[in-house]
Amino acid sequence: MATTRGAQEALLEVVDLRTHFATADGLVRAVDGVSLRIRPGKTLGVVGESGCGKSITALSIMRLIERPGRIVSGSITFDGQDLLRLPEDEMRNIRGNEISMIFQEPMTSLNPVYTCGDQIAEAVSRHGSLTQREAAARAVEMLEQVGIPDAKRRAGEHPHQLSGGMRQRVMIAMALSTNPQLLIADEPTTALDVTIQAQILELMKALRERNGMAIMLITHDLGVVAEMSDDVSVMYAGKVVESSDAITVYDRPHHPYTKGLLASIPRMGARRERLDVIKGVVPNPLNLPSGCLFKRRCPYAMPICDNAPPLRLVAEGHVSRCWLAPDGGRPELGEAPSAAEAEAAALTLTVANP
Amino acid sequence: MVAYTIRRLLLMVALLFALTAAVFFLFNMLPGDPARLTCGKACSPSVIEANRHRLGYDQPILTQYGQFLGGIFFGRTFSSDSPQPIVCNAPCLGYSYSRHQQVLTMILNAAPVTFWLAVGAFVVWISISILLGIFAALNHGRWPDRLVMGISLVGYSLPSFFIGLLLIFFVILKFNWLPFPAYVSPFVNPVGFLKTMILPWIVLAFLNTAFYMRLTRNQVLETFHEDYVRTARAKGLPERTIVVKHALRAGLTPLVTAAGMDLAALLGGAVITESIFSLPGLGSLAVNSVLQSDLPLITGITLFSSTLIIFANLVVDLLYAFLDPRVTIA
Repeated sequence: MATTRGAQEALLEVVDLRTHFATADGLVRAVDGVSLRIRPGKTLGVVGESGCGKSITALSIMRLIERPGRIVSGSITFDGQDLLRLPEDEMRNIRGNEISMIFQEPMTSLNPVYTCGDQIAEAVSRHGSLTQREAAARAVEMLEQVGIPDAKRRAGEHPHQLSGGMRQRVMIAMALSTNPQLLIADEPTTALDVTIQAQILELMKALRERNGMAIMLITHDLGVVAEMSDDVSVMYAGKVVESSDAITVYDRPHHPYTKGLLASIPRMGARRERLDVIKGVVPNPLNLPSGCLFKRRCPYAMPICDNAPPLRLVAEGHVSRCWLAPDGGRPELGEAPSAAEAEAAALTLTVANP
Repeated sequence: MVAYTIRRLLLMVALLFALTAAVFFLFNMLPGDPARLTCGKACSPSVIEANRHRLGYDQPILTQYGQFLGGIFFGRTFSSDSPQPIVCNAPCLGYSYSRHQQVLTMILNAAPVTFWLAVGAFVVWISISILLGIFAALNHGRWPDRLVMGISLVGYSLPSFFIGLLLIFFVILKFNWLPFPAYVSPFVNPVGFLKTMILPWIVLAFLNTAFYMRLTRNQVLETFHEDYVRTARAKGLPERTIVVKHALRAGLTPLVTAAGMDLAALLGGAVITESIFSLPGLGSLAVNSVLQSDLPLITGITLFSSTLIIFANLVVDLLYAFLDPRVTIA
């Protein structure tokens, strides 16, 4: 069966993850049936607007969802074990060790009262059996690896003495100090200047080659995804709306939302004076429309969109949550497969050939 | 850091100068004749006048202030023209004629009592408040949090003399669990010392725990939402390390400020608690000096307590830089 083959291939497989927040105003389904797959050593870009559930998906994988949030259902299989069924202390052994995470805000993600070296060494000694001195040496070595000049001195400095780019390098050094199999990078370059962004991406690429780790790269920036990713999943309002290898998504996007995102990127040499925008706003998570969540903003909206579309296979290794025919044309009446059938097709998907 | 400390110390000296002037002139403006206090009821006006001259109270006030300052730095001799002059070595804070003792000696005799009272209570309240504060923060919004905060509110609202009298009534008078407090030095009789101090410690701690518990809880709750605590979690650290090393440590600064100042104020005398438990500390001494209009003693105690507070201010500021590396001291 294709699923078995898929499970062998995937380093991380998220199936039908639902993470909900019970707020005072009502239930927010921040992540509502997300399925993702990350292959060993490959990079998955997760793209979407703010509030689409990208970060919550990442925090769910780390099991770092705080109250009032709760992982309601789904499975997260990492390296053959379901993370959602692990006891907390075993999960702690995976966090920062086999799966590391870096965050959007390098300015606030490091503890201001400890030196950078100490904070890296803390991660190292938590997951290894090194002495304090060895852990400190490892911290300096990691700072060198991420290209921080005069690493020995920098290790003794506090975060506020470093620039934003330097702090993100420190975060990366910390995340990679334990040689994780998977790095989750949540908007790692968003808070940085453009030139620094490029440096950090180059650094991540180089370290990926060296360590052979997989990366889950969360971003709203399709340019960053194009630069880094092997596979792409596009998220909208708590669901994955399109998923394929990066080239397919860029060349032959199927979902109108993905098309909209791509059309809103400025391109060199393009003669258009104005960028296309996706009209309308992201639906209120407390009051989601019935049927397709994108229909109110969709230029292709049609009557069938009042029924929620399933994730459908539109080409080999390419799924889309849209009623449009696989070639992008209007579906003929009665052509739409049953939801259950299509969902099954999507779950057995092998995203791309290894 | 060293330069800063030296500058602060110099500033402290200037401040103390201003303080001596304020204290000296303020208390000399009080109604009452200090010379009248030097002899008992059967005092003739001629004796009073003679004493006034001997004590220098007939001098202009500025001259008196000069003598007072001179006494602090070089020592001074009272009644120098009498057959039995009283030599008061530097630092001389004055001579109490109602008690016929040097002010400094009296302060130094009372200070250890207050010291043990303050430090013991401090240890009790800081440890309890930090533990309960963290406990409340970890159970934020659930019943243990509400219970702890409720008790803290009660503690906050009760005056210390009420708690003190309650404890004396039940623990000492009714159930005879402890003897009535009679201070002994911990080096002479440690058991008797503990038996005496435990209730005063509880009273003082009770009063302060409420505030510190809330402070700890709020600081921990606040830092819990910081990004770096999430980073610490993402590293796979155990919860205890996250709470103590990352959340509490980074939110500690306001706690240290408040604790430093409160401890200093207590070291200057816990007036009510000492009075309730008849502890012969600085607080009791201060109360008695006021009741007896003992001007040199009042001046001396005020100066001593203020010095402690000014010094504590410096220590707290230096600790700040130590606790939070973002604070630059220059």
